[in-house]
Amino acid sequence: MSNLVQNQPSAPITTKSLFARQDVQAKMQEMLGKRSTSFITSVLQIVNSNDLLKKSEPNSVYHAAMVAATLDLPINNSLGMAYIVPFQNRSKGIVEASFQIGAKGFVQLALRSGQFKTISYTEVYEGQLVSENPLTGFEFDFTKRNSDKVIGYASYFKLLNGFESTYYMSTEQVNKHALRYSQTYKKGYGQWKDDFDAMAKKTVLKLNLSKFAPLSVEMQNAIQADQAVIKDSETMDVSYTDNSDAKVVTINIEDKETERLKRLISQCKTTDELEILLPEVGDNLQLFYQEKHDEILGNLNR
Amino acid sequence: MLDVDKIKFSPSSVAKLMVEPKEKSPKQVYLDTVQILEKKQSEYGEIANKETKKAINLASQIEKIKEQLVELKANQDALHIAKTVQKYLSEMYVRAKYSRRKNIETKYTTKGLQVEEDSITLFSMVLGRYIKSTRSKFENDYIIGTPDIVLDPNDKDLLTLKLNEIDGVWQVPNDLGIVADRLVIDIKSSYDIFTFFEQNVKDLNQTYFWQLQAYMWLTGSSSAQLAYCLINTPIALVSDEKRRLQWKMGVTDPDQSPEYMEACDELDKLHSYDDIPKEERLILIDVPRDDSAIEKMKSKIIEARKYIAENFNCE
Repeated sequence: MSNLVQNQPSAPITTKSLFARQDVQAKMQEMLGKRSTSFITSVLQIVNSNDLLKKSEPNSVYHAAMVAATLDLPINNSLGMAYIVPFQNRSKGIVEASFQIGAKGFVQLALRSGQFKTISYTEVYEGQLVSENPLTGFEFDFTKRNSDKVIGYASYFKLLNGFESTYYMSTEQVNKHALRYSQTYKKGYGQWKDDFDAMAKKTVLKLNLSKFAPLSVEMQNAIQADQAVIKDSETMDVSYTDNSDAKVVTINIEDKETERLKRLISQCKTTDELEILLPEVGDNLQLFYQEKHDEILGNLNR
Repeated sequence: MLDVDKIKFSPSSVAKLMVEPKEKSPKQVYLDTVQILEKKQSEYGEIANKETKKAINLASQIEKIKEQLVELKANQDALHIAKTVQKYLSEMYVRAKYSRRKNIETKYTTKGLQVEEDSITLFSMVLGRYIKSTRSKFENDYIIGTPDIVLDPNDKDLLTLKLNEIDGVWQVPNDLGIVADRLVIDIKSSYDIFTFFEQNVKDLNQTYFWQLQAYMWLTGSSSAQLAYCLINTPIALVSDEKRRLQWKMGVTDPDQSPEYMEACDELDKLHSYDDIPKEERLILIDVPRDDSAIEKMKSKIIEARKYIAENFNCE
């Protein structure tokens, strides 16, 4: 419900006009300094190059960009650090922009923390996985490769204090993960479908870091914001629209009213009760009404 | 140019105007100061020797108070609005002049919007009669809104009052008066079972009191009801809660966390109520019409418009 309605025309807000606002530019300037102009330009270029992003709710683009700015990750598809990806929110009937960090973005954030000596990720081909020990870890030999078949994905990091961690998931495990957490993949489209390899590598890296690495505040925010529609970049209020295992339902008021009337007709016990509802019965429920009427009469005649 | 007299309020936000300021009004300060002056003048009058230090001090105080009173008298009819109301009016000004509004969507309002029709169905089933939402917007010179349900046992449809329609909004006279036995109902879909049953013990929410007074004014209803409904939370919202929980519990792989899975089961239970009879999922609270409250609402709206005109650039 609106707080105020005024009979004045409201100017449509576009992503371009939103980023042209002085307060937005000032905020970006405060966060990025001299790089703010080029950052805004890169965001607008990405929006313009994608038809769905052009239709995205401007605030969602803004908040996704703000998170990238906060994390100081460039939004450039070729760099692979961070992305703004459109998502069709069918329950709301709008397109929203979601923020995604690439594997390279996570590496960047990890290195910035100053705690990592090494961090990497790779696909694992048939023949390269030497042993799997749930207690002592995995052993790989990347000089061997029996075929081009990718059997899994691995990530590794070593901290300056000597601690190291290897995380491996088989392709089946990654696939199961994607089916569980991505509704678009389940339906046969989206990021996982378009680039399974890249998403798999990011997944093993992200899981390795979040489970075993000391996470800086920046890294924690990054993990929280990844693949989310950012409702408020300052409070990190996010929504994982692709993650939802909800059946997408569009609320149709007429359908709801029809269902309501049908239920009332069903619970009528007398023709008098039924006749009270008759004025509301449209063509689509005439038959249902008549059947109920006959049922009640049939019961009376027994 | 912003015509403040055309600024109208929605029933859901009218309560924000009704907050009284904590400080004394300029008029009260003036009257209190007059009393202080009279007291001091009386004290001065009782002193026989006007050359004493006490008398001289009193005389000096009396002069100062008289000077203050000049300004206090000039300002005694100045607008006296609470700070929270002032803040709200600045938001409204931004909305009216620059077409920008604060995003107030929360998980509670989201659920309310998504299950509104289901709540009306529950209400309908419990009452045993077919009820539809109004879906028409009505306005008078002060407020504009869409009441959820209007029931009239005499079957006088609100729209048969031969109202004019402008841009899809029905124009209601300010003095619509009261139509006997007409009832306006506002549906409230509780977020979960705990907030639902709290309604049995809580005092009437003041925001809802004013909201219903506004709807009664707008629809000519003689009374109103709040209908609290307990409806299953849409799966998408429950999923969001599960995700938030996952983050809070620090769980990266849910399949490996029985505690998380158990907590998710609890969440599912907390948000679905098919096992509860429909009669127990509806709480009705009667709110009688209060014409003096409606008059007060009107004067607060006028005051609010005046405040905007005096404090903001309406050019």
